[in-house]
Amino acid sequence: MGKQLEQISIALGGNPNSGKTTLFNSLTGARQHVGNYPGVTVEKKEGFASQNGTNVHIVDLPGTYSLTAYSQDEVVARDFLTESKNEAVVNIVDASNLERNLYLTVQLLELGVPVCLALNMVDVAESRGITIDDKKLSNLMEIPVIPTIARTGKGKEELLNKAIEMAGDAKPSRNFSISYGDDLDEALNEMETIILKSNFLIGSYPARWVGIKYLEKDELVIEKGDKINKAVSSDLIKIVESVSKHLKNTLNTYPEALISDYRYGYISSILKQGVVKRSHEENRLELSDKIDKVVTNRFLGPLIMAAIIYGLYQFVFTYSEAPVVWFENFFGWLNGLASDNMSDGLLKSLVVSGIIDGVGGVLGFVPLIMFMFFGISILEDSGYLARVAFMLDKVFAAFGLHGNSVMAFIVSGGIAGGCAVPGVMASRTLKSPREKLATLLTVPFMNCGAKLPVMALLVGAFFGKNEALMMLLITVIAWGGALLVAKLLRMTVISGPPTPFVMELPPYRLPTMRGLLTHTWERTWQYIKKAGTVILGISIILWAMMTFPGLPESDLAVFENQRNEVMEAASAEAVQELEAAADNDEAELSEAAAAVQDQLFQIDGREAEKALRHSVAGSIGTALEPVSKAAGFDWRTNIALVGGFAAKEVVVSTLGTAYSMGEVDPEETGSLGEALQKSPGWNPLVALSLILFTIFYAPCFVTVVAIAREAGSWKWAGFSMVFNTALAFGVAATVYQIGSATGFLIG
Amino acid sequence: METIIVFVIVALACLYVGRNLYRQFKGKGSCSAGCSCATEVKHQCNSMPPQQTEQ
Repeated sequence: MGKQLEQISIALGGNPNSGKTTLFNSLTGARQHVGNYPGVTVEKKEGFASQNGTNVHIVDLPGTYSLTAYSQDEVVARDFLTESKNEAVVNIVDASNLERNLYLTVQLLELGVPVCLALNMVDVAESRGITIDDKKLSNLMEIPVIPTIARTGKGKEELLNKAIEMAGDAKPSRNFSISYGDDLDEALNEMETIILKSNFLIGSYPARWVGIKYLEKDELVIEKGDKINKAVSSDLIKIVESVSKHLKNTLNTYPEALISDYRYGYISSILKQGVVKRSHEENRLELSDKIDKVVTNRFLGPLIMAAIIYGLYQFVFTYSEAPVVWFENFFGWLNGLASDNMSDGLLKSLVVSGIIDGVGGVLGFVPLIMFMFFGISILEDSGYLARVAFMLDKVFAAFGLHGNSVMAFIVSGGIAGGCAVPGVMASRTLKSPREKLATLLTVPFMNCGAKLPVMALLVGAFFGKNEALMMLLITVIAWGGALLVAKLLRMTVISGPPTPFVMELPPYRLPTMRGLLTHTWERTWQYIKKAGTVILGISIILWAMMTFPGLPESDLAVFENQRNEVMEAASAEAVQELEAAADNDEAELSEAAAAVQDQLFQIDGREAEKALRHSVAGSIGTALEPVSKAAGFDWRTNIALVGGFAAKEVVVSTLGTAYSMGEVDPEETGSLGEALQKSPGWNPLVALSLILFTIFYAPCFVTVVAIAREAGSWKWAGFSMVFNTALAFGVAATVYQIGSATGFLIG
Repeated sequence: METIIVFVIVALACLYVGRNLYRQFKGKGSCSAGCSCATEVKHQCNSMPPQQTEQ
C-alpha cells in the first residue's frame, strides 16, 4: 500500500452507455444528466469526492469505443489522458458486453496510463446468465478489477479506495504491449528504435504507442510529429508504407484492420480462459433483442414509433388540460388583484401587462411542459429513443446526414421539449465536417422546449379538438423540413461523400420513478428559472418598447374630446349610473348606461391600439407589416416574432403583453388563447402559418452563438439566421396564400 | 416618482438581459439563461465546488 495523498486526480473513461455518468454521479454526488443512449457526455465533466481524508478530483471523459481520432469526443478523451496528470484512470466496462468494452481497455493500457477496471452493471450481466470471474480477469490483465453497480452505488467505495491506492503507488505503470503479428511487430520494433533514438514525441506518449498510431494513420499524431521533427516523421511513414504494401500483397489487408483483429484476439484469449461463464445458450435472444425484433421491424417499427409519439402527445394534452386551466386562473386572479389594487399609470401597466400577462403566459404552460418532459424521460430512460435513432439512421443517410445526427435531432427536441444548444453540441461526435455542418444547421428546426409553449398556445386555441394529431403533424413537418434542407445543403454548399455508421443499441431498462421524476423536475425547473429571469427581463424591455414614447398630446386630446362628446350626449341618469358603477364593480347597468360604457370602451381601445402602434416596438411591427401580411401576420405578431429571436418563449410573453395592453374591458379579460380566438385578425389558417414560421425561422440567439462556435465561423451562424428566416417566410406565406385562396381553415 | 421606479426597473432589466446575452456570446452563459432544457450540457454551467475534505 502506498502513501495516502491529500488530493489526487482520477479520470473516468469507458464506452458510451457503460454507466460512466451514473458512476460519476454516484461518486461525486452530482446530478449530471444520464440518458439511456450513447453519447450523453460530449465534453469532459469534473467533480470531487472525499474518501478517507483524500480529496479526489474526478473527471468524466466522453464515452468512446476507442482512442483513435475519428471523432472529437475521442480526441477530447485521448488528449486529456495524455496531457493531464492523472494518478489513475478508472475504466468503466459493461459486464454484459465485456468483449467490446475491453477494446478500449487495451488501448488505455497501451497508452501507458495506470488503469483500474470498474466491472459495471454486474447485475444486468447476471440477469442475462453471464457470470464474470473478476479475480481471474484481474490476474490475466494484471490490473485491479472491481465489480460495481453504478445505479445503486455498489462497489464505489472499493473502487475509490483502489484508485487512491494506485495513485499512492510510486511505481510507474507497467509496459503493456501485445503482439500484432510478425509483420507489424517487426515494423513496430524498428519504429520504436527510431522514436527512442530521436526522442520523438515520447515526452507525451510511449514510443510503441506512437508507432501504433503511425500504423493506424492517425492524422493528429502524424501532424504533431511532422511539426516536431519532419525527418523522423517521414522515416516512420516510409516504414508504414512499406509494411502496408506488404500486408496488401500477402494478406490483402491493411495495418489498422490487423491491429484491430489482434486486439480482439488478445481479449478473446483472456475471456476464453474461464473469465466469462454463461448459464444460457450463447446464441439465445435476449429480451431486448426479442422486443427489438418487433419494435425496430422495417414495417412495424415506423408505425409503432408514430403511435408512441401520438400517444405521448395525447397523454400530455389530456392530463395537462386541467392543471393548465388552474395556472391560467391563477394568473387571471393575480391580474385582477393587481388591477384592483393599483392606481392607473405606468407601474400598473408594467406589472399587469408586462409582467403578469407576459411572464404568466409562459409560466401557464408549466404543467404541460412537465407532462411532456415526463413522457420524454420514459422514452429516453427505457432505451426507446435509441431505437428511434436506429430506425431513422437509413433515412438520414438518404438525406446526406450521418446516423449520429439522429441523436442530435432528438436532443434538440425531435419529439418535443429538447434544446437546440446541446443538439448543436452533440454534432461534435460526427467525424465528417460536412455532415457536422449539415447537422448543426438543421437541428434548430426541431421543436425545442422554448417553442413548445408557442405550439401549445396556438394548437390549444385553434385546433383544440385535434391537439395530439396536430402536434404529431408539427413533429413530422419539422423533421421533414430539416431532412429536405439537409439534402439541399449536402447537394449544394456542403456536398461530400457520406461516412459509415454503426449504432449500438443499449438494452431496454425499466425506468425508475425516482429517475423519471428527477429528469422531469430538472428540465421543468430550467424552464421556470428561465421564465423568471431572462424572459422576465425581456418582457419588461418589450413592455417598455411597447409603451414608449406614448401618444403625443394632440392625439390624446382627440380621444379625450371623443369621450367628452359621448358623455355630453348621454342622459344624466346614464352618467350618474356610470359614476356609481366606477366605485362598485357589481352594479348592474341600464341599457342606456351600458351603451355609453361600450362607446367609451371602444374609444379607449382605439387609443390603446394607436398608442401601441406609435410605440418603438409598434413602429417596428408596423414597418414589417406590408411584408408579413403575405403570411397573415399583423404588427403585433411581428413584434412577438422579433422578440422571439432572444428566446422563443418570448413569442408567447410578447403576445400576452401586446393583447393585454390593447385590452380595455376588464370583463373580457381571459387567457391569451381566448384573446387570440376573439381577435379579428386571427383564424386557424393564421395560426398554422405562425406555427410553420416558428418551426423554421432563425434560431434563438444562444443557438446562433453555439452554431458559430461549433462551425468555427460566424458565416454559418449568419447563414442559419438568414436562410432559416427566408425559408420560414416562404413556407408560411405559401400556406397562407393557398389557404386564403381556397378558404382552407378560415372561419 | 412612479416614472422613476419604472425607469429603474426597465434599466435593470436592460442591464440584466444585456449582461446575459453578452455572457452567452462569450460562451460563459448559464443554462438558465441559455436554454430551458439543456440538462445535457449543464455540466458546462455548473462548476461543482470541491467538497469539504474530511478532517
